[in-house]
Amino acid sequence: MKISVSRFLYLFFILVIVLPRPGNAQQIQNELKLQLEYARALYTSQQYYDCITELKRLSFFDKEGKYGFDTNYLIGKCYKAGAKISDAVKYFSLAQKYAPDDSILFNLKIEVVRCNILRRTNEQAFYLLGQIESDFRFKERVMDIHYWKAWNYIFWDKWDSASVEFGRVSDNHPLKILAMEIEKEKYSVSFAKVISYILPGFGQFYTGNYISGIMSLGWTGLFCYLALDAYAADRIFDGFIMTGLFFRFHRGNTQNAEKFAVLKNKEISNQALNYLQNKFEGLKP
Amino acid sequence: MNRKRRVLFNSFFIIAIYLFLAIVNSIWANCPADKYVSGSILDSVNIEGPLSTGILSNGIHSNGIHSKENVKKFADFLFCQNDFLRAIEEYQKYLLNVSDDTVRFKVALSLRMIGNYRKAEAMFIGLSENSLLSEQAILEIFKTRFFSKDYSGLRHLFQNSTELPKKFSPEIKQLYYTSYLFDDESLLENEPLPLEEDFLSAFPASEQPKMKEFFLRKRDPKYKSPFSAALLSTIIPGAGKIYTREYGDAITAFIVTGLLGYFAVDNFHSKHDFRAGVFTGLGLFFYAGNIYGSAASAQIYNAGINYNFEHDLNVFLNANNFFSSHYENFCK
Repeated sequence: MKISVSRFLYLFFILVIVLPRPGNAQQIQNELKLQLEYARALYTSQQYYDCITELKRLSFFDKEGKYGFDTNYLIGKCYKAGAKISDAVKYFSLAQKYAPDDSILFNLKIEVVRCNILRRTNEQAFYLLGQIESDFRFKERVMDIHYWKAWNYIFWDKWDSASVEFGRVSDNHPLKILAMEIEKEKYSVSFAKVISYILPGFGQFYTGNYISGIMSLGWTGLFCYLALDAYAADRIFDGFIMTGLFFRFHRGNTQNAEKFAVLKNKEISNQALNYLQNKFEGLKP
Repeated sequence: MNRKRRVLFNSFFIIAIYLFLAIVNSIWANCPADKYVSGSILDSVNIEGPLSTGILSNGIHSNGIHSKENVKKFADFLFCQNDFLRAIEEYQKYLLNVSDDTVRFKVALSLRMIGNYRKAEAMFIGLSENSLLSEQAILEIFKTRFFSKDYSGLRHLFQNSTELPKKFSPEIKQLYYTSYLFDDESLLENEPLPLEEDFLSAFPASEQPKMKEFFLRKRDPKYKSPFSAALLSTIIPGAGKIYTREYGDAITAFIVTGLLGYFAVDNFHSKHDFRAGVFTGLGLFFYAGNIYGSAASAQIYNAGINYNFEHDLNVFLNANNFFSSHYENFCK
């Protein structure tokens, strides 16, 4: 009997140590699930740094990659919320590997596009949208592609093209009208420049910078007069000097007019973007 | 009991124990660890999270992904991913329950990697006094001073060290001598460069020719004197710029000053006093500007020499893995 007790103990330890316990895998999965819920709660409460830590922990212990999509997607969102756009792109791209279906894959690709729009790598965003457009799996999402193309144009400061793209989404799209209005409101840089070539100071008047316009008109007018006066009095050398000064001020005047038009346009664009950020309730990059 | 019955009894007994364990385990698995502590799963999905309801104190669980072993594994992963800030947090969580000098060492390294040199050095000092890694920690104290650009502090420490760890003594000496190369000129007035032989003896023979070149470049930098540049430009406009190797500027300065001077003289001869006065003023303005510009150009030239020296030295040290700040063997 003594022998059989020791045998029992021996077999008992073998079983406990060597044989797989049926609950272990389930326990780990439950813990990982709980970890994901915890990370989501952190995301909801805007604790992005901690959220990323917990998601990275989840990702590290999720050897089977069961939560690959959730972790990478949420990490991407955290980075995006923390304005770390390049990191966000990395994790949205990683999440694509685990996308359970084409619809989610499309959304992830669009997330990458949105990041590119936000960081103003507009050409890259445009290229990615082109790739998505040519993918037959997403042929039913053409409207979404047009929508994000339009946003890309907005961030590219091409409001007229944005208006056209919004028009493709819907004829009465509110952003189509807004983009058109912004485009109309903007100043023509080339007009400001050309008018300043012909009539110094008028480019500045066109953009509403009257004092600068008067100064430009005064300086160029003065040196033009002095040059002509010198030539008329046969003071050729003085004439050359004054002509040089006239051209210097004339050039400065056109550059100034161009700069004012560009600045004014930036102001208008920024005001519009500010409006969209705070007032527009639809999807934004 | 005959043999057959005994075997049968044994088998039933073992199966019963196994099933009992399986059932217990299954119940345990379906209820996360936190439930046993706080009473509800929802409690653990709050903002404080599973850590706040851990079985052990300080955010460490006795099992699962928050167990101390797993916290360390995760911290090691973060450390090797160069996510040092998070690695520090995880290591510190681990250290609240376990005393581990290697982990402390990694925390100090991480602190240094994120630029928190003061805390890193304090940790290395703690490790250097009473730990298995004390010798390595002493080396890291020197490295920390080197990376934080506290070169005079590094040299002061070296000169006051009575005994250096034998194993790391060559590297510490290299740090000591290399610090002279990185230090700025003003400090070197108080602490002149060491003798060439002493300097070179700290480096392996294969590196000595290159280190000698750096030593000589540091000892005899080919600086241009701002005073000489200004003086040359005073005598001949543009000559100072030729001295500082800005030939284009030199020609421009010479022509412009010369032309303005010629116009001034010519107008004085022609009794155009006002115009002559304007050209004289302009000429003097350009002449003075050229003198000032030549002195500034010499200073810019010297700054370029310093920059190129540091850049070349850094490239050389990095290419030859001198004073590597990261421990590759921790991430194998």
